[in-house]
Amino acid sequence: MTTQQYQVAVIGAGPAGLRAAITAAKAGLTTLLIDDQPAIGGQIYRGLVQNKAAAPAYLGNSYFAGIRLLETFSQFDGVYWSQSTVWQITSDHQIAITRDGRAELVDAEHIIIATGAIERPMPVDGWTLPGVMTVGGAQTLLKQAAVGAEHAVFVGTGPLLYLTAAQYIRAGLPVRAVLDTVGPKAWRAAATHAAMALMQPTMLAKGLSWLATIRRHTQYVAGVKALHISGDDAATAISYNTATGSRHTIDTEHVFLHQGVIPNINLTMATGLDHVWDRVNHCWRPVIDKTGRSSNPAIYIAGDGGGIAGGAAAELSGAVAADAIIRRVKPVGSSPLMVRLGQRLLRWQRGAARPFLDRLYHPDAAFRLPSSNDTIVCRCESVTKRDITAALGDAVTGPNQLKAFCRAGMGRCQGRSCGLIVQEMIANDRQQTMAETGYYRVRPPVKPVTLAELASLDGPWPG
Amino acid sequence: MFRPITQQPDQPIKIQFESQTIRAGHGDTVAAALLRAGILQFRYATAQDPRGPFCMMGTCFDCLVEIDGKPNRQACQTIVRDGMLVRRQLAPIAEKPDTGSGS
Repeated sequence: MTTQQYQVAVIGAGPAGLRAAITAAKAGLTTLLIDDQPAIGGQIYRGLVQNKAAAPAYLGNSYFAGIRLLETFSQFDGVYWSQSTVWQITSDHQIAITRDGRAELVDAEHIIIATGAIERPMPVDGWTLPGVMTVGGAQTLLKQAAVGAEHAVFVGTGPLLYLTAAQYIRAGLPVRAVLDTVGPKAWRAAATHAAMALMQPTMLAKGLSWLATIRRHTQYVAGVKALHISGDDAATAISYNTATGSRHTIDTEHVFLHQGVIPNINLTMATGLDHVWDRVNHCWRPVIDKTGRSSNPAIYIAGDGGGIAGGAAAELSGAVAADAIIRRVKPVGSSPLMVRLGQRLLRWQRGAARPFLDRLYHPDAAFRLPSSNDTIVCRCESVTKRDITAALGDAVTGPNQLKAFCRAGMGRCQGRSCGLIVQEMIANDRQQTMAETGYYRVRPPVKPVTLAELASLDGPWPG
Repeated sequence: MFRPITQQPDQPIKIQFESQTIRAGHGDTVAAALLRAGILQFRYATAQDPRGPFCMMGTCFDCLVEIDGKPNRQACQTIVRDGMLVRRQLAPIAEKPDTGSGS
């Protein structure tokens, strides 16, 4: 088997990856785009390919704005692999991929990782019960399958929560309640920020219109606390305290949780790239320069995986990263004006607009940590707060040692769901910073691979 | 209950879940098809710890089911095929050849 070779391999077909792949291929670089979903679009434009024709209005204009990018991609003359999972990037830039039940290795001179964001874990009591989903999950069902739940309760904070609740209402799905863990306070705080007024007026207008839709059509409670989801075989109710301390219970089979998104770092960490703890956004992110270049000069990060800035910035960062690579391969003078402008805009969005975004996405400490001893922290291994507290009593010093003590983070999701929770529990217990505490050591493969898939590889295990 | 929002287009695909036949459309994920049929419990981590789809994007591994005899398939990442046999997982199944369950 000869290993396929590309000048650029792009991982992830959301706005960042699509724009990066289009830009690189257009400049004549041999380009491979790898994505684990059945169709392009990433999470933000999930299902857009099939929704394009009917264009159901409830999904909203900003979703359909993605059609422009999808149509540009129809002229992409590189290679696109869908339903293909990257599980390792080796030190000599080989990418290990599973596709159609077979493992393959691809050589890439340059790699652009555009694997986006995941939702910040929200370990509410009862969050593992069937019927409880992330808001992103509920929105995916809406976009990809035109399926929604009746009488659901939306809980948490952040634009995606308001947007999805508004989409539900516009789709004619009765929403039982929206329980806001922060309240419109956050929006007002963001609105007063100077950068906001200059730069994100449409964003603010959209947010306010979502909130207005919610308030008109469902019960909206701001500043809720002490959340508890109850049920035996599935969720049946959610209880909460209001800001004034009175306790309420709502019967519901569907609870959708959300408190913002964080960079999806499993692949970048497993690749050994440098990461930094972002105190303001309370997450890890890879260290990148203004073009998206990581601590490995052949690897770039584009989109939310390099720091949360949203879909428009993601697309821009894809173009900027691809342009930087094009310039290294074919030194043909300075970047086109559009790219230079893009770079500047991107720096601004990641810099000047940061405070605005940070205010909007800020998760409250009370909802980052489990409250009850029986709350499951590590969903994969069913490790509870009690188990972790016990391990901490055994003088565990960090997340990796904790793994060995109680199996938290040892499961299939590789800590994607529990990593930040466990890290913060250790940091609080040890009275040290999150940066000092560190994260799980993430190792390849970043997605499960079977021996049968590996057996289809001709060569040795990639090293 | 999950329900379709619009009139569902053709649902020519039939999959089997336990003893139930479920119809699905082209491009549906197994998770979407089961949820639409009112199935919430996809697996049991223990007898008292039922789980269903949570993230719908392949991150959380909570929607694992057995598909055509193979355990630990992500229902949210698997597209339906006519005649597919889907079963609930009653306990975490140690898939021996799996190298991806942590370090």
